[in-house]
Order: sequence, then C-alpha cells, then structure tokens
Amino acid sequence: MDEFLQQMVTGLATGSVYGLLALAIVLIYRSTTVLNFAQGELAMLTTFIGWSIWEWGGHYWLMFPLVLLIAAGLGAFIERVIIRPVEGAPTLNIIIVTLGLFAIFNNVATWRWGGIPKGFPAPPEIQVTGVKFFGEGALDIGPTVVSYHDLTIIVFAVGIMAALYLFFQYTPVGLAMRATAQNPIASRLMGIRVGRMLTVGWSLSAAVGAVAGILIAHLILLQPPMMMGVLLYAFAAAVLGGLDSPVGAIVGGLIIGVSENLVGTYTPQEWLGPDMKLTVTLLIIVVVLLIRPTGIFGKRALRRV
Amino acid sequence: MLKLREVVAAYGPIIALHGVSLEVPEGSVVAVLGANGAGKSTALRAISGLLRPKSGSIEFEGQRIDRRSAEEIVSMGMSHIPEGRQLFSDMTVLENLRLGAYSRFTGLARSIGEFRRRGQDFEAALKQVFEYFPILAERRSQIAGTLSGGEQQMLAIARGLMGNPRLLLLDEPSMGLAPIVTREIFEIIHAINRTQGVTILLVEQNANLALEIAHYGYVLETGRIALADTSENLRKSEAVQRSYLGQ
Amino acid sequence: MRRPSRLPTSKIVVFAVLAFFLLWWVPFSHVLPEGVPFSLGTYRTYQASMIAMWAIVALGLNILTGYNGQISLGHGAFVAIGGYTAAILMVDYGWPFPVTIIVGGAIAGTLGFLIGIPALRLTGPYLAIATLGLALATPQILKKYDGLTHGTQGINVRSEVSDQVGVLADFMDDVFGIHFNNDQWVYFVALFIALLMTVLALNIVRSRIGRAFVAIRDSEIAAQAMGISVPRYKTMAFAISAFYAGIAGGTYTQVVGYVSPESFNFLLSINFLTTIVVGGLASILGSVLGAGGLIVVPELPGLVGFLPGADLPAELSWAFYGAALILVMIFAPYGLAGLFHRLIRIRPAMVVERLSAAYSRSVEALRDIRASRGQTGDGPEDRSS
Repeated sequence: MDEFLQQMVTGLATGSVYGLLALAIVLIYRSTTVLNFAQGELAMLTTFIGWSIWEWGGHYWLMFPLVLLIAAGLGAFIERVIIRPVEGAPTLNIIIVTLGLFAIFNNVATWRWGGIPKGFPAPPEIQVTGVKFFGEGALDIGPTVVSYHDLTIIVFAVGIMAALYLFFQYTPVGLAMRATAQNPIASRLMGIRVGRMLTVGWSLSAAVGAVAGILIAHLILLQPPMMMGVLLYAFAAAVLGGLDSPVGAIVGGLIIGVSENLVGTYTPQEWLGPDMKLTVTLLIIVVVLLIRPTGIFGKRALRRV
Repeated sequence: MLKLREVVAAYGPIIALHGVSLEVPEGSVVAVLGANGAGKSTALRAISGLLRPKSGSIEFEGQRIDRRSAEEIVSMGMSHIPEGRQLFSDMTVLENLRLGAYSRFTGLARSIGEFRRRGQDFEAALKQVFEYFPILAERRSQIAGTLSGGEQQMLAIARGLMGNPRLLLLDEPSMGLAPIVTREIFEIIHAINRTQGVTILLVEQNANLALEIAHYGYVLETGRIALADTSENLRKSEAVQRSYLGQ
Repeated sequence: MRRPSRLPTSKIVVFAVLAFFLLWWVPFSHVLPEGVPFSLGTYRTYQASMIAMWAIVALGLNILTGYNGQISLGHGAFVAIGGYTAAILMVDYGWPFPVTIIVGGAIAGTLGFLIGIPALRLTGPYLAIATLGLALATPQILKKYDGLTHGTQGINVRSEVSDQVGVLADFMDDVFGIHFNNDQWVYFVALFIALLMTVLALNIVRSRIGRAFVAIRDSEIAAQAMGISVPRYKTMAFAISAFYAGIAGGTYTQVVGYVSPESFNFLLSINFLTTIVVGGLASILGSVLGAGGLIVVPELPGLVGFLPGADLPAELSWAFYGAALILVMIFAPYGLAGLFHRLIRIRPAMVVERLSAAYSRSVEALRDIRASRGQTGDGPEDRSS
C-alpha cells in the first residue's frame, strides 16, 4: 500500500509536468489549431538559460521569474517574426515551421550547452513558522513517505493552473483571448486586436512550458534531449483531455503520469512491465479516443457541410 | 455620415462590387436591398474593414476608412452585426455583452477614478441594452449557443450596441427568424434609431420590413446600384414591387 | 480533359536529362577523372538509393495525407514492418530478396488496413497523435519481443544481400555482358522499385480511386452524398500507404543491410510528414522532391563550406535544416512542387497534374472569402495539384 501511494504521488508529480506542457500546447492549439512541436525544445532552451543564470550566481528565486520573462519574450518573438508570415497557410505548413524551430532549438542548445548532463537546482527550502516548504528530503504523510520535490512540482502546477484560470475568467485580456480562440471574426468586430492576442497566447504558452522545464530538470538531469519524451507525453495528454480544453490537458497529464508509473510497476514483467510502459499508456489513450474521439473534455467538432 | 464612392471589392479575381456609391446621412435608417449574391454583405464587409476594397473610397464622419483594419474602425464608433450573428456561442450572454464593450475599455485605466467610471459606463450601457431587450436580462448567465434564434439576434444587436456606436451595420437580421420575432426585432431597431439617433445601415432580403423603417433605400443587383430613392418611392415603384415585394 | 497530341520538345529534353542523370551519372560518374565538377562518389550512389526509398514512403504517405486528408505521424511503423519482415525472412529462412520485399509490403499493407479501421473514428490532430503513438511504440515493441526480432542488436543481412545481389550481378554479366558492382546493382534495384511505385501511384491518383480519395478529403459529407463509401476508401488509403511504406522498408533492408529498433524511431515518422509537406502535398513530383530534400539539405552546410566567407560550424547543420524548413514554408507554401510548377512551366510526362490558371485563381478567390469570414486557410484548395 505504501508503495502504491508513493507511486501515485510520483505519478502525480510527473503527470503535473506533462499536464503543464500539455496546457501550453492547448493554449496555442485553441486559438490557432496548430500543434506546436517546438514546445518542449523551447522549454528546454529556457531551462538551460536558467541554468546559466544560476551558474553565474543568481539565486533560485531570481532565476525563476527571469526565465519566465525571457520565455515570454521568446514566445512573443516567435509568434511575431516566424509564425506571423505563415499564419494564413494550411495548418500542416505551420506545424512544419514548428518542427523547424524544434530542430533549431535542439541544435543550438546542444552546441552551446551540450556534453555532460547538468544538475539543476530544486527550489531552496523556505521555513514558515516551523513548517518547511520546498527543499530536499521527504515528508511523512500517513503511512508513506513522499519526496519534497514531488510535492513542490504538484504545488507549482496547481498554482499556475489557478492563476491561469483566474486570468482567463476574470480579466478583460483573458476574456479577449478566449473570444479570439472561439471566433476570430467576431473578435475583430469587437475591436480586439487578434494578432496581439495570438502573441500573448504564444508568450503565455512559452512561459508555462518554461515552468515545466524548470520543474522537471531537477528530477531528470538537464540535457538537450530532456524534453523530447515529455513533449510526446504532453501531446498524448492534451489529446486525451481534449485539445480545446485546458482542464483536459491537466487531467490528461495526471492520468498519464499515474498510469505510466502504475503500468511500469504492476503489469506482468514478462511480456509488459516497464519496458512497455509507453506502449501500454499509448494504447490506453487510443482506446479512450475511440470511445470519445475528441478527448475526455473535448467538444464535438461541428461538421461543416 | 458614411460615404461610399465607386467602391470596387473582390474575392480574389471575382469582383463582387463594381463601383458602388452610396450615402448614409446622419440619424437616418438606410436599407440596402437585393437578391442573394447581389453583394449586400460584401458591401458591409468592405465598410467595416473585414474586406479591403480594391479601389474607391469609404468615408466615415469625414475620415477615410477604406485602408483601415476592422479593429480600428470599430473604435471609431461603428458596429457591424454580421450575417449569421457570429456570437461567442460558448460564452454567456453577459460575457458576450462585455466583449461588445471591449473597444470602449481597452488599455489600462490611468487611475482608480477612471477605473470606477468605466465600471459605471459599462453598467449604464448594460442597463440600456436590457431596456431594449428585457429577455436578455433574464438570461444573462445563459450560454449564448442555447438561446433561441430570435434571442440570439437580439444578443447580437445588444452586443453591437454596447460599444456606444454612432453607426450600426446590420446584416440580414431577419435571417432564419419567424415573422413575429422578426417584426419585434425590427420595431426595436426602429426605436434605437428614433430614441438614440443611432444611424443605421440595414442590409435585408425582406424588403417589406426594411422599407417600413427605412428613410432611404438602395437596391443592389450583381454588384451595382440599380435603384436609389426614398423608401416611400421605392415602395411605390413597380420594379421594386415586382422583384422584391412579391406583388 | 485535353491531352497533348504530341510531346513537346521541352518534355523530351527533360526526360533525357533525367534518364542520363539517374541511369548513368549517379552510379558511374565517380569513374570520371578528379576535378570533373559534380562527379559523385560511391557514397552518393548510396544516398541516391536512400532518396529512392524515402520517395516510395513519401508517395504512399502523400496518397494518404495529401490526397485523402488523413494525417499519419506513424508510418515509420509500417516501414519497420516491411524492413523487419524482409530481414527475418532473409536471415532466418533464406528467402530471396524480391520476395521478401513484396511480403514485407503485403504484411504492412494489411496492418495498415487494420489500423485504418479505428482511424475512421479519429480526425485531424487526434489521428495525428494517435498515429504518433504508433511510431513511439514501435521501437519498444521491437525490442521487447526479441524472440522474433532479435531484440536490441538488430538483424544484419549484409552477407545475404551481397550473396543474392552477387548472383544477380553474375547472371547479368554472363547473359547480357553488363559489369556492375554490387553497390550499383543495389542502386538500380532500388531505382527500379521506386519507378514502379511511382507509376503505380500515378495510376492510382488519376483513377476513380484517386478521385474518391480527393472527394473525401474535400468533404466527407458531400462524398457520401455522391455515393462514395467513405469507410471503404479511407481504409483503402491507409492500406495503400502502408503497403508503400512496407515496400520501402524491404528496400531499406537491401540498401542498408541492417535493421534495428532504433532505425525506425518517431523522428523518422515525423520526417516523412515533413518530406511530403515540403515537397508538396497531393503531388507525385512533390513526394520525390521532398525525399531528395530530406537527404540533400542536411548536407548543404558541408558543401557551403567551400564558398569563401561562409563559416557555418558543422555542428549547426540541423539548425540550418530547421531554418531551411521555415523558409520553404514561408516562401513556398505549396511546397517544392508548387515552386517547380511556378518557375519552370515544363511538364515532364511523369508530372501531368495540372496546376491550371483557373484553378489557382479560384484558390485565390476562396482564400479571400475565407479571410473575410475569419476561417484559417485549411481548405482543400490549399493543396497543390
């Protein structure tokens, strides 16, 4: 039972990271129907930038917001300069552009920071009235022991989701962005600058991805191929939850994180086991999609005649 | 208030408007009639900036707008209520109305005072819109896509009014609606013009209703103005009676 | 539809140049003395064989995605099936390679049909990611069930291939007096298969089947209303494209001589999609050009190094490739085939798809209508023909 709970928590932690990256993917998909294949590599790149800041002597809590800002800037730059020229093109073309970005980011990061995988810090410990937050070590919860870093990841992810929810529901810009995603023509007629909303979308998406990168870098050493596996799981999570549903992205991520762990541990090692955990997880997703072809929370697509 | 001069508009190589000129005097209701495909919606799209004219000029309150984007034109005091309503169907009535007021309240408020004033302005606009369309007040938290056809049209018009426009472009408000509902909506449109002085450019296939509330009318035929006269004269004209009034 | 009553000279010239290039220059120009520009070494012959193989996959994938509108990010799996089938049959059972290639294709095609059935439920990005899952699962499955697949170490078929090709070489030498070495014969075999598959693709695309594919892509509902059985043709498209990938896989086994689980990872599948979009969707020429681009472009930084002043570190060749992808998408939205049709108004007999003026004008018109209605440019008219 202990082990089960531990697996659950670890699963929730990695699942939160998948969910965050999936959220970044959904943010862009919602307003543009584009699958951003460069999402993971961009997160990896910004995490490396964060590492350089930290190496150079920056404190963790200086590096973190700085990386978010840089990521937001990069995201805006990419939308404005690279995506804008192809915005009216068929979706597949834009996807190829993101693949091009994938290649560029990966190559540049390898060239600049390649070689030995690097360690990445966890958020440093904070003591509030004797209660310890973040940092290293493990916490006793009931019958089981849970790592602080796993908890950190979950807390961060929840925090970001809450912040985004508030942003989209209760601010004018958030409302305008939702409107743009739903109906760009009507949005223009409301005076909303659709182009600007797209730029903000890409910025936000890059920032969310950056957080995912930072959180997971501590768990699995920082190296250029770090986010490739995460990206694939994130796509799976986004699709599982429904590509137009931010909630779906998070839920999908959590489901995948947990089931990946459980499948690895609790299936017959002979013909499944940890070697096949990716395959089994993907199989589960395909089965769900066959039942609900647009994901758990996805809306049924209208068929235009 | 609105002047079109020799406007040519096209979709790729297909010319939809062949040099259309028309005028909408301030405070009036002007109807644009014509069959399907005559170019009526194209004309509105050219005016509101969704479609850039190939040549000709469009002036609004003395300023050239034919090279401007739709987002800019909206902030100048014009509201386009498009064909098919184009509501944000997954959002609530209130959110749709909020978005209608977006152009009035963009940019960070420069002071707490301005912030409060904006809130008040918004509430005032909301109140007025609910006076015209009380049913929307009842259904303010309902998802727009679940409203009936008539209610959706009302919401579309209400949303357009939230920006306090001086010119309202209405594209086929009667489309898909039952006669009773259509009549109700046209009465409200008439009231908006009479009580608030909002200028209205109304594109309609239902010539009867349109001419009842309009002061002037233009008839478009395959991208050209075929007739232009006061609505009274148009109603009396034999040509119009035959083609559009079903007499 | 008007057909040209006689071949214009321009077409004959292009044909002749192509034939010369493919049949002599690629396999033999290395015999020319040093310093002759553009002479190709034996490594280039190998690369040309690779281009032929990837062209086969691209042709099949283009039929599925370009002509039929179903996005698959998983075709590496079918290539793997073809490749592994061929390898296992050759090494473990001693079968001759032409048969193994065909069997590989057949098995892949059958699996493609089976996968096409659940694929009917999924659309667009959902189908894409589900098929990506297939590509992801492939290396894991290949490694796990090593009783059949020889596991992580892969299967080495080089000796079997050289034996069999040697037999062919001897035969051709004795009977026709043609002396080619094994590498050259492998190249010619790959080229022959590619040509066969290209002719087959041309026929499919221009037949009722091809038209049904396009009708379904443009509007499933309208196609249904016209009496086209959507499930039948969609699964057929999957089967055909998987068959092509399987044939390519079998050919891969001959050309490379070695298959392993990592030869067929997800990057391969993603590269295939890139190939057909960059080459030109719904275009036979595009499939071939795209395959060429896939092999040639990463080489360019090396070649560029000969130009004075160009100082591109070799480690950045993939960044260069990525930048090239982006530039092509910005400046050639209909792919290389679209560029080709625009720049050179020659139409070799192999490429008779018409990008007629009327068609492109209606494309423009539809694009403007959609723009004024706020729809993204994702319609059927956005493909090159």
